[in-house]
Amino acid sequence: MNWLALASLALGAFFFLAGTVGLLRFPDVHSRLHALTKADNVGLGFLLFGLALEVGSPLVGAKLFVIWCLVLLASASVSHVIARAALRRGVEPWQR
Amino acid sequence: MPAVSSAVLRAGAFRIALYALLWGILAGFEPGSWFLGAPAVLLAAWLSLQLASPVPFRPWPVLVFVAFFIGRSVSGAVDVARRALAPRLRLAPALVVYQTSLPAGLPRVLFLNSISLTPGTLSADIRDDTVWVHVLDENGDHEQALSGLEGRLARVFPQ
Repeated sequence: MNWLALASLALGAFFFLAGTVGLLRFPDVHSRLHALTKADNVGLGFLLFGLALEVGSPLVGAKLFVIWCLVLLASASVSHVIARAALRRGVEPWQR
Repeated sequence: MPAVSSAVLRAGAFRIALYALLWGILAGFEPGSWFLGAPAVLLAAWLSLQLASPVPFRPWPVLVFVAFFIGRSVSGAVDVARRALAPRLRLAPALVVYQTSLPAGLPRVLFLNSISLTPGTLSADIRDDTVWVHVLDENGDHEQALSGLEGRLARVFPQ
């Protein structure tokens, strides 16, 4: 296995882990959305980059890239919709 | 036959090229796949022009924005990972209000989505020109970060 691919996969797994820890530890819905959208998107990016290197086919790499773009779009939009629904229902963001 | 403006022609040509590329990526570039692919691409391009009017954009600022966006989203992920894994939670969340001057439609959608993927900010609501942004740390200079992001998008879409 290619070392660059391995490092990229490990980095991707690390960001997924950090995002999940944030999801569990952060105090309210809005803070948790930060953890999910940012960490998981970049984690998926590294994961897919590692997989593309490992497969070594440009066409499969392009497919993985399209998947990444669609997931970015979906998760940013969904997190906005969840955040907005929470605000409009009167969920006050947690404050220190 | 109604006259077709050059903006629509340009947008149509661009969308046909984009959808053809997508089809090729999904179904393969073998000649046989275009038997179904070519009509599907043309139909999708026609339908997309009915549903979404052309939005002119500048190609070079798009590339600048994409590079900037990738860098910012990686630092956003690093920032949130550090906060999540720190022994003590260092959060001071707040809601920040920002007035945007970007036109409605695609530029604004991209602005809201990019806010959520850049460090410490999450777009939480929009009414007219007012955007509510949830921030993880109220002590940061969010006004400057948001106007920087907005300025880069404004260069992509000429007014």
